[in-house]
Amino acid sequence: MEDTLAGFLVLIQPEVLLYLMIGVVAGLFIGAMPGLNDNIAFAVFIPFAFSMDAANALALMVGVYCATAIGGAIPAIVLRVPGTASSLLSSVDGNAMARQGRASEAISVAISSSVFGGITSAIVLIFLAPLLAAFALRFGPVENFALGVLGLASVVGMMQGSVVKGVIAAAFGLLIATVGFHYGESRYTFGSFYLYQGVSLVPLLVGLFGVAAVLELVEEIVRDRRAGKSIGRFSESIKAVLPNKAMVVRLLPTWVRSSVIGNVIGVIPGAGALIAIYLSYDQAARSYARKLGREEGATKWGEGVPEGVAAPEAANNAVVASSMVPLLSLGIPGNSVSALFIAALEIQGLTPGPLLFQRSVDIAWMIILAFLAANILMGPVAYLMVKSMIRFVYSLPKSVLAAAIGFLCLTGAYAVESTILGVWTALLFGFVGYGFKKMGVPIAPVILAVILGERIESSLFNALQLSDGSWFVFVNPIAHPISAVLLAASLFFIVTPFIKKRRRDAAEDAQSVS
Amino acid sequence: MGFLRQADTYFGLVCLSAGAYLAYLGSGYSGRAGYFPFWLSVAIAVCGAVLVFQALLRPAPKWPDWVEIAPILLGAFPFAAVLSVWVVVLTMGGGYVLPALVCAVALLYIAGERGIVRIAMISALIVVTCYLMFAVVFNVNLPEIAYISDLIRPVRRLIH
Repeated sequence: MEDTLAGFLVLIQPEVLLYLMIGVVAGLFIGAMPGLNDNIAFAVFIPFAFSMDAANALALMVGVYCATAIGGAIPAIVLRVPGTASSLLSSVDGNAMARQGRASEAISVAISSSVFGGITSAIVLIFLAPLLAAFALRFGPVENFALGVLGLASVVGMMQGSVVKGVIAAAFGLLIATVGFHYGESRYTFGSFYLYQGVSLVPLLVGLFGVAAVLELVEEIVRDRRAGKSIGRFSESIKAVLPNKAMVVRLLPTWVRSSVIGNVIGVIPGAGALIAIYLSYDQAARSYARKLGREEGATKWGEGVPEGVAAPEAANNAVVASSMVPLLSLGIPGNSVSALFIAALEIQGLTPGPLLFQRSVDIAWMIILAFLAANILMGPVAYLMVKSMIRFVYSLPKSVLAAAIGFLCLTGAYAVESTILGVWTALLFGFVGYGFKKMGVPIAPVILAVILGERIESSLFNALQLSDGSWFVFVNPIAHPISAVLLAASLFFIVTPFIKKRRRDAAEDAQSVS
Repeated sequence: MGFLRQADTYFGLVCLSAGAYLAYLGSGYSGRAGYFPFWLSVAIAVCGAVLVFQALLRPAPKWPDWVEIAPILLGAFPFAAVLSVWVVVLTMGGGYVLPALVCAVALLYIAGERGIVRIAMISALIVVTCYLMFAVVFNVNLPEIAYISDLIRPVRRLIH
């Protein structure tokens, strides 16, 4: 209780609250801009954290993280152009509602659902993170190694597409983590003195997320221009209205179901918001078909059903805070944005994981409570700002954004260590990230592997040293049951996609034969 | 020869050769230091070989047409090239603001902006905002030619 109070006292400082508010407002606008997302926002904001007080910087990040998910729903509903990937499904029913002249209702459902999902996940974070952190302190090198492997396996296994490419991404990230002077040798430094301390995390993240995203944005601009497409002006005046009691009662089961799905998926490292969104959308569709869809004159699913907006919005915001549970308690990022959060913590000299609750307990609790505060703030701010956000979305050309983000990313990469090597790192990894995206190689395993690489390597050697070189120590169910369970779970994550693919192929073959 | 039309073939070959080279370097590190780099590089090389093998088994796709490639060749590549030129000039001591202004003009043109005055004004706005935010507000010593550094020094002193 004392720890919670210490965090609360940090949070209620006017300056910290102001930064949280700025983060919420900025996040709403960034999310509402098609082409920008929370990853880019973080890549741009992280270098700023360098010159800010820890509490202020982290409050800003929390605000941005929470609000981008809700901002993305606005263009998804109004234009059917999702502002962020997580608002992809909201565009289906949301835009159908807008075309029926119910844009205000759709936006209201999106905002209230996001706030509901966000608050539930903040509560999960409050209760789960400290408990897991206390448990994680019992981990030795054997368990730490297994935990690192689990983090990587869950990301690689849950990736859509080729598992081989996921393994390449993870191995590439682990290799980057080996660069520098370790174990008495300089590895992959190619004689450069600058690489002795390894590859800097922040410029690397800025490159992989920021610069790569800018190149994709430019590609999209040129494609749209050549196809003669342009985002049209939107003249309808939209204001968000509070949902009435009947609507709240109707949507409550969808909110609860989607929030539970979002929270469970969010806690699993690497699972990501998209899985939660698709699962909750699917569940909402089934439930709608069972209950309301059979009524005479009922709107068809996908043609303007409020549950079709409520389910993905509640789920994507439920993932936000719950994805911080493994990060704050175990030091393992739940998704790519929380991986970027690690960089923000490291800039402030803080170590994510169980030690954060020992060494900087006030900051740890401030972050947790800030998630709750941001979600509470988000609702009224979003309701008030909808009009100006819509106007803003259509006033800023993507070309200006691309150039501005490019300069911000590279200047930010320089600012972190005041060396030109940071700029080169960001540029190089920007090209690598862009190339990986073109090749269908996922970026998330690279980031996770870079962050976990040192922990995995040192834990492996320490564990082997303690066990006189015996590998059995990792799967010994009596001496190290946690490690055995974690490695079994890792195997499950890696093998499941192969089994699913085999079943799918078999089903397709059977279908083609029949 | 359908596998030659697949990007996976080339990516697999890059992984195979890079993995083999890094494994060779990793094998030169003694004891504990070499263990991780060597086996990770081997994993990359093996995965690269698997990608090439998978591409061999797949039916031949069409060559990508101009509509698919044009946004990359006319958008992303020139944009990346201009950013690289700016970083090279920055590294060689050409300063921040002036090269950034020239590059911003090129970047905006590539990204589809037209009209000399409009491009010039937006470029100036982006570069000056970026420079002032980092150099003045966040007090970062950006690499800059002496004339501009002297110009903003009083402002920095005033704020910090």
